[in-house]
Amino acid sequence: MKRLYGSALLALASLASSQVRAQDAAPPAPKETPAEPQSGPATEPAPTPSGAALPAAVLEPTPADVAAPSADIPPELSLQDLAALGLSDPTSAVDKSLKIYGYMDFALSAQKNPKGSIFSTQGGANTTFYVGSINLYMSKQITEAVRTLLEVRFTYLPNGASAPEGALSGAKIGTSVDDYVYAGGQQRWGGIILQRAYLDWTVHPALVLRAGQYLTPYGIWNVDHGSPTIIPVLRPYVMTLQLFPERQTGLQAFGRYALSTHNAVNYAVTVSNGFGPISEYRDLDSNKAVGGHINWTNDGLGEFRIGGSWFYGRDTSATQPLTFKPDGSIGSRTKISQQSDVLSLAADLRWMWSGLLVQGEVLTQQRRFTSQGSVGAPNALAGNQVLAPKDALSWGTYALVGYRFRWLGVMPYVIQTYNYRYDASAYTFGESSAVAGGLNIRPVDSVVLKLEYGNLRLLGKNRPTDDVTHFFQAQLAWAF
Amino acid sequence: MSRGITLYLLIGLLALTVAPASPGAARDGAAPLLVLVAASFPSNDVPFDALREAFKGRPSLVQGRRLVPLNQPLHSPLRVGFDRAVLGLEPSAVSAFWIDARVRDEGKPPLEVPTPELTVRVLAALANSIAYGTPSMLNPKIKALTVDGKSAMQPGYPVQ
Repeated sequence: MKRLYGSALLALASLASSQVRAQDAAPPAPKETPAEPQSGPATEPAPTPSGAALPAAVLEPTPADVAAPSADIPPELSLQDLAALGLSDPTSAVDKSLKIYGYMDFALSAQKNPKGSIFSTQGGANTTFYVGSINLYMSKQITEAVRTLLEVRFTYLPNGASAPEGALSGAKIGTSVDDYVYAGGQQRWGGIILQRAYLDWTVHPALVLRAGQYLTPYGIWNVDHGSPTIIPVLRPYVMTLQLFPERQTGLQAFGRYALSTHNAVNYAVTVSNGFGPISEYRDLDSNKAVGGHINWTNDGLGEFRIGGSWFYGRDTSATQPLTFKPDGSIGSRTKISQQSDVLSLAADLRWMWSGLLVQGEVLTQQRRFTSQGSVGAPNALAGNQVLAPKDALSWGTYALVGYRFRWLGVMPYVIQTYNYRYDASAYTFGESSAVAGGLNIRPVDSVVLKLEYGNLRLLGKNRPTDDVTHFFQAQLAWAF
Repeated sequence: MSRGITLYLLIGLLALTVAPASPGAARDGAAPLLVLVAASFPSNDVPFDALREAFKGRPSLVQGRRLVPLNQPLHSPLRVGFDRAVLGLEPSAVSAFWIDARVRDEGKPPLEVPTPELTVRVLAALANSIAYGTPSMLNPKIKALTVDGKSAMQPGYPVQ
């Protein structure tokens, strides 16, 4: 009976597999049998009009519904044809219409923490639903070589974020206001995060010039940040530590150079305002940050990519208050609250073969405070002792392995992360490790369901707790 | 009993993991696809890498001309064969590929032209357009390119 049951299960699986193969197999292409031979000896293939000669095999008899090359000149393309294709320019097939698209996600998060655990701050002790990303893209091909993109994230922040004084007290920012549209009823307003806003000029496939605000081209999962495309529920913690700036405002040059049919090199070079509290629109020092990325790709055995990234810049927090000069005139001075030079280095690797995915990144950051930028401040965690930030090395890594099955696009995966980070604002080092396993399911092309379970623990001899938090997360992410 | 069932479940799961066809695998019994451009296009050849980049929605130049790719409808036999041969994508993976590319801002899908007949007229009229098709789509205003120096019936022609 056991053998009968097992055989039935195996037969069922094989049957399902063959049905999947049948569904995915392309319908047979119409057989192309060549035209009737012309009168007279047919020892040489007839040339096509103004083009490459067709081989002789093409000139053999053909069914009536699959005709040979036609000698007729096709009718001209009409304005109605162009309109039906969504084209506005009668001289080019480049689609110059405005495109609006994006992605969103909705999640369930649950934690199991020891009672009173540090992990229960920020409301983490309670199972909760939340809408995470609401990202809208607008793009337009302005000319054949010039294109623009705007990406905006709508968010519930700053409502509920930690108040500036609230790291220890748990105080939160509240945005409830009376809404004049609802006769004074309360509404909580959210915000907009400008992710990307840039103009691209394609000079050559090996040289594209970009101006504006862009995602820093490092690693894999910074530019590739959309929840439908990343495998786990959230990007690895190391990607959120700002070891590299997530976004920069400035200039970028990037491109691709094919070494052969199966090998190519991609590069990017950046010049920007770098790090800083308002680096999106103001550089608080005279130092421009530079950075770059280079990777080699090979598609001889699946898709293989290995790359490295770097960034060097000055991170300045400063104000410029008005001041009275000795002669009585009014001027300004620069008051630096924190300043450091930052060198970030990273390496990444990804291999996709058949359904297998192996991916990993290592990110490092060396931070050296300038003499005028190492300003001490009272630290509540240290009994209000005045502490100054320290030069530090921070780093983190993750490794992910998964396999995408054809049934419902199910991908089981495992991800391990490790982080060692210096927090200059808290004057502390933090070290943590997490491991999680899950399923990334893509039943239809634009919808992804993720289920993930894992645990997180703090490491290091000065860790604030020995608690381990276990978490379960489920996420629906969809593109539109 | 549980160990046996586990083993069968594992084997059944493995049976579901049919590897996709390798990129460039020939479509059994099907004629190779021609790469088509206007007769006035300045080149008679296109590198396979440039063809692939163009149909991945990325900048691609041939003799200084930026290629403007034209696709057939998603599940048409010509499209299925071309995506498999040039992009290495099975039909079940194509839509997901383009969704991911748009989220990443790594290329936009080529314009879809509903019929081969209209494709031919677009090729003839709009500069630098490039498409794929059968010999029946050739006419005095359209020509076929070689790919990596190989014509459609030569061994090693990559678009098949």
